[in-house]
Amino acid sequence: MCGEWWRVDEAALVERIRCRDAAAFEALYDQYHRLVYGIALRVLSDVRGAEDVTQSVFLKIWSDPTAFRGGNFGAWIARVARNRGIDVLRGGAFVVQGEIPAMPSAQDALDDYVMRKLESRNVRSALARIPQEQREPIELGFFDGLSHDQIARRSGVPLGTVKTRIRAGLRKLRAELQEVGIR
Amino acid sequence: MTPHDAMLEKVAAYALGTLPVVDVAGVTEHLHGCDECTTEYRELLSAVTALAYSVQACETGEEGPQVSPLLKERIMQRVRPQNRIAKLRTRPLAAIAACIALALLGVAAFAWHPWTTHPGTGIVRRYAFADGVLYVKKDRITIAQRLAPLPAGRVYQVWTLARGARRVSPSVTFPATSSTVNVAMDTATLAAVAISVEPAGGSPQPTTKPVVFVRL
Ligand SMILES: [Zn+2]
Repeated sequence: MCGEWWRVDEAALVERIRCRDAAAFEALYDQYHRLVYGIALRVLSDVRGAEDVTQSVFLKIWSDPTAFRGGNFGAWIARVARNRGIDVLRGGAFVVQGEIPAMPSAQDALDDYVMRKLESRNVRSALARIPQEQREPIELGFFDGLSHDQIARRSGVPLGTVKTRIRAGLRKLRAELQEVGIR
Repeated sequence: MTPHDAMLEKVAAYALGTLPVVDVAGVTEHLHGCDECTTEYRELLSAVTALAYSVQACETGEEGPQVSPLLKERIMQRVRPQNRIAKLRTRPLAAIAACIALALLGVAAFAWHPWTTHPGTGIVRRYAFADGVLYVKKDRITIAQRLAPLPAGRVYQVWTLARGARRVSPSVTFPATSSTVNVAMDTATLAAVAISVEPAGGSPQPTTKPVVFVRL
């Protein structure tokens, strides 16, 4: 028996995908394709490219479900989509840090309750309250795949300042998310 | 800046996915032994994930970019068993027409129900699935569907899963011809809705794999 279909947590769905259960795959797609596609489109600014990335991300899960090693599925697939998008953007030459690691105690970092509240609108309003000088390096690093060096050169600020601003900006974003009710 | 401050900056870069490859091993090793950095990592990772969710697309394009429903058809063709693929390939125009019909159905469903006349209250949640849309309100769910026709003696049956529950609860049955299905219920603890094909009259427990599975 390859898991019972009414168990809905992603780990169970992935387990069923290992058993070639197309319905489990479809459930996962339904839940996460908007996230994957949205990230790919933001990275590539191209509908066709975003569709291709979305397809490759989900077919990768179908062909190799063991790639997900536990933890928060949304955080994981967001990172996979972002990395794949940047890889396409860079023509396969994306060499910075790979997939999100399975941290020993990070698995509950984002529980379902938090993820359900991650309405794009809420997050965007939280993001809008991050100072531009902090938001820009975060977005350049995440969505454009730039290294800290590249961000420093592009922004004309010292490397050390880029690192400091990224950390400060992420902490600020975290605090702003708490403000709008996302833990 | 202390050496540990420098490490915290690396931890932030790690959470963002911008840490140079050469630094990854050092940071992961440090994380395993430092509670402060592990806490920082967890918190910043949730901020980064939220950042990713900020660009999430939607089905209608009314908020954020729109995802083509045909993309799912394309992907599922690679996943479903061969006989299903053959069936899908023979009806691309029908699929497109159905998508358009579905979009209209979605609009119509919003127009029909009085509780959707207050769009600013955020009380109606909308979940698209392959062959329809699920709307969730505080006291009901509404399913607008275009599921495949069924053989005689078979119906679709709705199942609901409460948060924390291990098993689904049986709900209403409906024929494929019912384009809209309403189920009155308290949705406060609703975690998922599924639809399976069952014998006429319904089943106490699902007897087939669901054709629709929507996690809320
Ligand atoms: Zn530390």
